[in-house]
Amino acid sequence: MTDRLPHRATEWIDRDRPIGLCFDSRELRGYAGDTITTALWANGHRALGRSHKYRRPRGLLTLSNRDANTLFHDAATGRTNLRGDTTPAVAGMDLSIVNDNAHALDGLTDDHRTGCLYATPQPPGLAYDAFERGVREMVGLGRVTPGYRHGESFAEHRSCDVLVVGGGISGIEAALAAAREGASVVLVEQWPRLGGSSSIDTDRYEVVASLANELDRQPNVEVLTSHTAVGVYADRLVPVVGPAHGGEGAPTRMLQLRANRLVVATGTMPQPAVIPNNDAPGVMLADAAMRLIAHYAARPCTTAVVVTHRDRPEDIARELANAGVDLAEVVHVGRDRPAMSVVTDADGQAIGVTVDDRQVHCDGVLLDVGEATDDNLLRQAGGRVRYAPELGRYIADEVPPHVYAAGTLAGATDSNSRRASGVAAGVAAARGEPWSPWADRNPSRPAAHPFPVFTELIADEAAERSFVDWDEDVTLADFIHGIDDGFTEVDTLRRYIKFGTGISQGKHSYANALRLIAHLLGRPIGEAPAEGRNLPTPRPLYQPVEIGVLAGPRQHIVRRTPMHAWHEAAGAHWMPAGHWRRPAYYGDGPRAERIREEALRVRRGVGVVDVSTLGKIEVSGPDAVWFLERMYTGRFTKLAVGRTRYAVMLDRSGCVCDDGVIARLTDDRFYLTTTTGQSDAVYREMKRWAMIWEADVELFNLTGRYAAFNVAGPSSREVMARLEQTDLPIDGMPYMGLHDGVIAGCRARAMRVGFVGEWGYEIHLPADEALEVWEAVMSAGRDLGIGPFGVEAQRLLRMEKGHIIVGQDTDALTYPGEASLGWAVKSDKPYFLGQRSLEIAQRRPIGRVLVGLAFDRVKTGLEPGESHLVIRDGRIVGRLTSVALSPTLDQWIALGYVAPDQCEIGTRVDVRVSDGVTIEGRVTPSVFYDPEGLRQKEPVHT
Amino acid sequence: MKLIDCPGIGPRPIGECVYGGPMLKEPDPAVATDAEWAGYVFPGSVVASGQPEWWFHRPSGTWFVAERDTTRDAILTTYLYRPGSREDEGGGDD
Repeated sequence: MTDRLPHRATEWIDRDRPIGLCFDSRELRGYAGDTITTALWANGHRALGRSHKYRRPRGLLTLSNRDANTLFHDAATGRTNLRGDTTPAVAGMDLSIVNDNAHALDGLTDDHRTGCLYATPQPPGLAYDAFERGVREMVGLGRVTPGYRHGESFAEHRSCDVLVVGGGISGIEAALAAAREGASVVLVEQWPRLGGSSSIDTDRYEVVASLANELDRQPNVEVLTSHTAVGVYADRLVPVVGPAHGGEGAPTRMLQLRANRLVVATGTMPQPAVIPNNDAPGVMLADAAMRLIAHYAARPCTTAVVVTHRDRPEDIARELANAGVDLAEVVHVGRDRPAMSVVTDADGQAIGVTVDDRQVHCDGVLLDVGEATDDNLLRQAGGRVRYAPELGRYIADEVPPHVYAAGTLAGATDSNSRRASGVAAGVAAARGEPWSPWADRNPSRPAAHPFPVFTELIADEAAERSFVDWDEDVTLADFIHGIDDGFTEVDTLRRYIKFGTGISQGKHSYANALRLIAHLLGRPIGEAPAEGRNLPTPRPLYQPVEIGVLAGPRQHIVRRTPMHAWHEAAGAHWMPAGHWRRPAYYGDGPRAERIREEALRVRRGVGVVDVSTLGKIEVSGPDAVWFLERMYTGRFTKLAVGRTRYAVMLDRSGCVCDDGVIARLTDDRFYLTTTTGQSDAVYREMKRWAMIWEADVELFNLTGRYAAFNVAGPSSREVMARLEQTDLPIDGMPYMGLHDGVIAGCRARAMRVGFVGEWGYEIHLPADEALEVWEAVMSAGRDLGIGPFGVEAQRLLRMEKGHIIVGQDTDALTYPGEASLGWAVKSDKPYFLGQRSLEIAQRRPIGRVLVGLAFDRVKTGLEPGESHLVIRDGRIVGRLTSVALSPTLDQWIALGYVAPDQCEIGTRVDVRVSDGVTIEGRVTPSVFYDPEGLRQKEPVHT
Repeated sequence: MKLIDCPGIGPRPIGECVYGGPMLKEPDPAVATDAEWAGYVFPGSVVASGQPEWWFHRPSGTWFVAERDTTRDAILTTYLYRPGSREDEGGGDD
């Protein structure tokens, strides 16, 4: 470790835990606590990346993840675009630079400067495509690792009274003050330790350490170091990203923190100077150099030139001396404005500077030319900032309720005023008092006037090597050309030459860009009315977050019916149905074959299907009939107790939105079913209309309380008769009849149904007893060949009967008449939902009609399928909604919409199937099987 | 995610609530012209501020009314629905 310094009190590395890792196939050693960048730098590596566009060699610049110089690929894990500045170095990493292909565009800058593609007419044709492909090969970021799997990640939801973002001295004081007021406090700091800029200073470090200890003793404070608040969403929902509990590795946790009050103490971001070759490895922010020394005990360089806006940068000189770095020269900018540039060697590394034609040799150029406020989160939270000329940066001006700014962001300057502003913000936040701007009455340090740009002294040629935005390779020349091209507004110029649009979103470029534009146009910075337009809208995410962390764990609600485990054991293949999962079919082997077997079992013997996912609602009360007749299209006044009736519900616009069966339990008590997906919505709408209509009804959503299954097939009656039962006249129960009783020892409700077109019973019973009865049914029918059938067989069977499924054979614009449901609409009723709209719609000619279709001589590969289009004269007139190869008819059949004049039986229609091939379908009655319904209504003797 | 101050419950994440559309008085279907009825079914104009809206809090099964300022994405007030007479609020047929 060539550049590692002796131990120092401020360091973050753990010298007892050395680690080995690889860079470009060379082994090197670092310590736990190193980041990738610091481990490489301490091992003497200087060229840590290549720039995005020109592929210029780059070193470390901000050491804060505020530039995209240091991006790595780790072959050990397959992770790419790792941010070297902040990603912890981990033993076993096999690192390489993501942009390490040779550069081809550097030197072409004169003709291919930023914005050239906008200004040049794009030649059409293959040549341009090839050119573009070539450019894309040369630029861009890392390569995706195919098959990469993001490890497990975690999402948590929490809340606190006061959230403090930023663990610098003002943030710490804010957290302490709020905690002392009794608030529950969370303090988020992106670095592994608290202290912010104070943590690099040998004197102030002690103060920070003692405050951090005090914070540790507060039971109502949680400190989250190595965590980043990546955004502020509505009502102060703050996503915080960090490593898993107690970990120090890659971020895998997304904490969604709801903060009653938010204190933003995010401090400042040191900024670079715009001078020729300022991107050469060896040129870095003085702040980065100080942190390299203080936190990582790594020597930034051996001989340094410091470029500063201050009269005497004594703190920097002292720390450099402590680190054994020779200070060759201090160049003052702002006051002197010398002509200077960085001198590089053949590899592009910094070997010195020229100052007013003098040459000074050095291997490190440390930029100490001022800071910009990190107002990102404050402005996301709705805060406004103003430019403070005496400070040379923006500070908080107005904040929305419950939001507070502290520290330098609030306008404080020296350490004491930062601490005091933190206390003030913390107390106000805890008490819920409004924020007041911090008035720095006695600044101990004269305000600085950073002016890190040397425009008038830079010749055009040199301007092309004077970088403003490292991420996107935007130079001073681009600004000059862009403004020449007429882009004089910050926001349009930003889009034209692309500054602040890269990975770090302007964190190291925006302050200089504003100064530059103001200077080039001869107008002051931040002056109204350009104020609003000067600052781009800051948007989440504050830092890039791996998409696997954003996605989080797969948190899907899954509802399981009481028979779930039984289905699983029977080899169910699952399909989603709303929040539920339902067996599609059972058993191994060819899917189509299994479905066919299940369907034929119902046609010939008996099968059972779990329909627990149906919505189930009880409606009772004096107004129950009146209410249902308004909610549904049908009539229920004359529905006899113990009988059921099919019911259709329309939405406000008169289109079909749900269907089900309504059963009358007593005169004023009804039990109804809804489709699986609509149970919540139907219940919700019933609640609303009952309230508006002041209907005297009680509504209970029993969907989860009751399970249900269907016993269907010619042998179903036999099976039911074998079950132990009381009060349940299975024999005497008419078609569409209903009876409550006891089956196999359980209270149950039985209905005679015929959805699948066979004799059948639907049993509804309490969910906790359902499995017992299900199993009793299965064993009662064993010798009759009973078996389960899944959704696929159920859909096939009902299709053979021409029974539609709302949502499958209808869409959001289907009128009942189009789907052959006109019979269920009693238009002469005084009122029902959708009635008036339907009446208007019915005055217009009908647009489409649902019919049955049969397909003869279907060739393999050209089978009809759902959503295949019905075409006439080259125009779409309809589509297929349900398609199946009917085992009963041994033919491809479908339900689908055709033009109204095509609905006559026998009409031939063209259906476009795969690959644009057209096949011919024949219109048939939509009831393909047992049109008289004899099998479900009369006893069948097999 | 926004918070919404549900009447009788207090602030809850808006994800617990379902938007139920603008709160419009249903015209008397026997009297309303087609155009008036269509204006009720497909309300075209968005009111920037103060338009009462239906919201449903799912965990508690409560419908309530919220008035929002859509220009500021701010919820101005929430309250429980108070039914008038059937003639005022209902379908108006009986």
